[in-house]
Amino acid sequence: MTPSDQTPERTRSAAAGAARNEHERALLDRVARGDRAAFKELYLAYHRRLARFLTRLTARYDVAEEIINDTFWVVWRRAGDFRGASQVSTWIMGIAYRRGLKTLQRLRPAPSLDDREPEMLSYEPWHQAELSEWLGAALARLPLEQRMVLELAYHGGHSCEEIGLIMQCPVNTVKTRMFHARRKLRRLLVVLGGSEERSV
Amino acid sequence: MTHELAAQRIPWLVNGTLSAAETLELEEHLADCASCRADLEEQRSVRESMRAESPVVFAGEASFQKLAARLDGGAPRRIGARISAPRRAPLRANVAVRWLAAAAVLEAVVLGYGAFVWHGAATTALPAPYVTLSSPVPSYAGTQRIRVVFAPDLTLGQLQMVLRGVQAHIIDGPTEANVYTLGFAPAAAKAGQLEARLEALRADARVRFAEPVAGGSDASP
Repeated sequence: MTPSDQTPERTRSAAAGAARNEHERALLDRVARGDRAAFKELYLAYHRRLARFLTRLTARYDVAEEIINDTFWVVWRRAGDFRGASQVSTWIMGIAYRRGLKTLQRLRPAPSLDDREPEMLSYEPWHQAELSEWLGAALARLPLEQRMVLELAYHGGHSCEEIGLIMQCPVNTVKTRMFHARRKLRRLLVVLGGSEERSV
Repeated sequence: MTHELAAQRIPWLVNGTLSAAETLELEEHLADCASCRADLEEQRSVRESMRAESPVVFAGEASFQKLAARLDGGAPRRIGARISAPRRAPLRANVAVRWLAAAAVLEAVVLGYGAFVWHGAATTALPAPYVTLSSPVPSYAGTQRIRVVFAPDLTLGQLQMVLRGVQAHIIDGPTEANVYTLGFAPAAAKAGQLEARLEALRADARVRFAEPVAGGSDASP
């Protein structure tokens, strides 16, 4: 990989992201005026992404669905307050994250998140086809904040700064959580791979 | 660039959010650092796996209808009020609404609009009870009940044919194992018909499993 072959890709990606944000901003403006069709378009555009994100957060599909609707209830009521200080996606994901955390706090006592060591798994095989499955199991054993940083970065494609806005924490905290997440995930994957020597 | 800083930037190179200048610095380090190159490949693999398609099918249409009903419903409920620890709703509460809800869920699933489907098992919460019924609510107390599992590729029309064939209503389900409980309104629940209904259901290729509920009135699958 060289800068020359990555820059055009990044440029195209940035342009697509800017166009998407502009479109979503226009939708949000219409939502602020009570436009139900725009609201539905925005909802459907985010449903799958939020469902995935909130299922990773709560591990309950029914709860994820409820939080999605709570999130868009807030979007419906507060669309007029959005001033464009962040991308629309960052704003919506931030609402969803906070609603999800509040729901989790109500459902169960919050564990000590960043200090907890992941529980080790004991799967034997190391097959590429099973990667997603056991990776999901390993992720579920990470502290919540670390898991969500990985999810937002790798599945959501958010930048370090965006994740800071979504999680309402400093950028350095995001970096620290990412560092610990990778370290703990690596330990889990070593166990999953059945080899203490394996560096993955 | 130090090795520590390079290692810290790797995830953000992987997800394409580093600036051009940061990328250039990191790539210069990567050219000389086998450890970071291995780390980069590992993180790419993790990202690729995380982005792999989930077996959970999410479709927003049915969920949006719930929210739309909530928006139309006037006073907002307290956010998150419907969410609670896992529980089983009281079975006898408004069975007609539950029938409609179960049918709506099944319809959503067969139409591809199921809110959440995990390996083919509908696990969504029932739709909000905003359906208005003008017809009287039939009572299923003490009547015959049968638990069934339908063929996974059943269409709504086929489901309705099965139900009409044995004059049954869905009064509970699906469970996580996709088990539905069928009930029979008192007028249709004549003595001696249970065996005939069971026989009909078991002979139907659209039904994978049919067993009577012991005691008749216990419909909790």
